Amino acid sequence: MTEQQIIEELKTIITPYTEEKSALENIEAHTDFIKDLKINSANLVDIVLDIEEKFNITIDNDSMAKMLTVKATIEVIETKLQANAG
Amino acid sequence: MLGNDIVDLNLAKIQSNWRRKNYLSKIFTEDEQQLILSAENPDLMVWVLWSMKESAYKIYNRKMHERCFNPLAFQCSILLLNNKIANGLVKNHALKILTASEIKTDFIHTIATDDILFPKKLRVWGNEYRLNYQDAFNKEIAGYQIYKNKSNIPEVKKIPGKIRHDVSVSHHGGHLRVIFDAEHTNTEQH
Repeated sequence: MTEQQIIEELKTIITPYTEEKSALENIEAHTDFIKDLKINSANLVDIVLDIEEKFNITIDNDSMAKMLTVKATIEVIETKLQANAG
Repeated sequence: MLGNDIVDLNLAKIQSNWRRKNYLSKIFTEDEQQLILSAENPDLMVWVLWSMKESAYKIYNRKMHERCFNPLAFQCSILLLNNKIANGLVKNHALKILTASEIKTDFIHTIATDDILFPKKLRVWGNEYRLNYQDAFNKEIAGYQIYKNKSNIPEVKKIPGKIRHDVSVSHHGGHLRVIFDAEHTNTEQH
């Protein structure tokens, strides 16, 4: 799965949790979930759970701790996908 | 140092479904989950504990200059709880934070401090949340001014003068709370 494909999946996952539609439209690696997309921190958990379901991965607590930006989230997803494949 | 967090209970009900599979275990320790599941009002307990963690995180974030999303690392114990208030302790490794929560039918507001005692001259200002809330604060609170610094972080200073006071701001849904310490000044540089 390419980085762009992961970003597209993320965009779909994040849509219900943000009202910042233009920031979501222009989502890129450095987009910050809280600062740019104004996502409520209680909904970050929903995003983590949605990602687990969508990508069929398990996100441990240390990985979740980093998931504040799109970039960090892609890195976590890629690492977990690789671990699953290997 | 101060932190605060407000939860709009009506909005939380719509925004979050904590009964969702695996939701609780991502945020709450075993002990905290036990508190929730055995509580008379589990919904309320979820948001009391959450607002304790969030207000404590604000202090952690400013002390450590580190952002993270690690609610499990903030371990809560409830010291006193009734239908109006909750007092608690939040620990994250060596950091110990005291919390005091006000419980109302439509919101929970938690104040956190890493001092051994709560500041004696803590001022709490509440209003409906608006983008330009600073104007209303400055009109109503004589002798102090709130503004955003160049990092876009709210600061309060005593006027006239340049002395800054420790402050924390939280809003959720229609609710806004600003808390500041009218006694202790803040010398932290940004």
